[in-house]
Amino acid sequence: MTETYRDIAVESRVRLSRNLGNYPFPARLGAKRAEEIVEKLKSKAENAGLAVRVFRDQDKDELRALAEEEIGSADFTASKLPRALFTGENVSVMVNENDHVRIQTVSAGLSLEESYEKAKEMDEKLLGDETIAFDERLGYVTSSPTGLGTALRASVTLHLPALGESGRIDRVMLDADRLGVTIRGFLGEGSSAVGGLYTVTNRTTLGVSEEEILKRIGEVAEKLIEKERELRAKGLAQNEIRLTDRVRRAAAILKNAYVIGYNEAMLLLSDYRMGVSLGLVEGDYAKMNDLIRAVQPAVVWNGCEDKSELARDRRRAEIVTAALA
Amino acid sequence: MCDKCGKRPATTIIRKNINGKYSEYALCSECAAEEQIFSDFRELVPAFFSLPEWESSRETVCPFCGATAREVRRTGRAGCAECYKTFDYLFDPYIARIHGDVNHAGTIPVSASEEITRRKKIRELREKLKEAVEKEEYENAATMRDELRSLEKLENGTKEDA
Repeated sequence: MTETYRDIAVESRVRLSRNLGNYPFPARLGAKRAEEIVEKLKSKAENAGLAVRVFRDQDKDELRALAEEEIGSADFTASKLPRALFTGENVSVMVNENDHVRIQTVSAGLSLEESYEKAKEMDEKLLGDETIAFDERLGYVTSSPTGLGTALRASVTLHLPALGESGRIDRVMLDADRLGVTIRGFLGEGSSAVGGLYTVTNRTTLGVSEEEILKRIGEVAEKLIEKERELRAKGLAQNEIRLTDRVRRAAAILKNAYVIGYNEAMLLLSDYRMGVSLGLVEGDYAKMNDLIRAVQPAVVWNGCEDKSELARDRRRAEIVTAALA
Repeated sequence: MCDKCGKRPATTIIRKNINGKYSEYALCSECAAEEQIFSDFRELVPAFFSLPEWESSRETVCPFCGATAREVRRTGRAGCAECYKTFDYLFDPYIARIHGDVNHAGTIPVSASEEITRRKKIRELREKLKEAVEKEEYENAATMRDELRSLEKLENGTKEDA
């Protein structure tokens, strides 16, 4: 097994978009045919061992939370069509988002091949005997021209607090862009990512093979990881006492806070995670990765009866302290 | 052409909300600027695709899904796979801008036609054959060459039939 860089790489994701031939894309599909597609794929999902949920009436709060967990999406939340969500271990499938089918897989650390294999397997299980919208020149045909070709988005979420604080990330972003690779703040935020989290993803999907895309993202990620490790080591050598204090305080607050806001939670999680990677505090990467999702605003909001800000921040502190106890 | 002056090419789509009903106008930059001064209920969005000058009638409609050129320009998306052919004059320059002037190079679905699958196989075999020759793996290359020949024969056969 190749190194997955769990100290810095949070997770790897692969998204595959597919459309059925002989149907318009969801934007022009209409409720009746949308329902037909949901029905057609439902039994296949069940056979593949996935949990099936069909959305007709909107439960926007829950859909917003699912969007933050990157199981759903903003467009999936906004849609008025009959649509479905299939979920399994580290895999989720949206039916009738912008395309008929969007398969998404996730794996820990830098492990794009693992995610891709799983996505491919799901593609075969769900759509192996369907006619797929495909064009020899354009590849898999998607509703947006940005996704044509392989219709594959591969992404790695990296924890780069030292690179972020050093201000060098902006230059790296420009360099990566030339390779058809985009680096952006986690969950679509700009270059100043909250909690030092960045996502590296492919901008181009046409004219490159799946393997090339995975390789390219992997290479950019590895370069960033190397740079981040270097900066951390340098920081540690220069400022061990201050750095130790900083990460220990972060761990202490996370484990004891009674009320905690989103930004504070993300910043402290970032410090804590870095502390673990430098061997300055004890901690578990998997738990911290889960917490990144669990503290997101709509996720906390969705599990909260009282919708006041204070009640939400109290709930967030409960989630964090329970996870780290 | 601009919906207002009818003289200059349209570059901007103006979306107006009048009593809750949206209507859209394709305007040139000058008329758009004027519109912005005089109207309060408008959203200025840059046109996703600029309009080619020859497209004077905006009646192009996709025969499969019914999407109009106007819709495609506004959303930047296709309504169905056929739209990429119907509106190729809108999509092709845009696709080239995003991805470069390239063709699909990835996997193909099981449902792809026999011809597409065969042509992909031929392309791959040619690559592999070249590699084998460079590496002086002649036995390997000979097998590949035979396979390639029979595939090419089939390919030419279907061309003659057509």
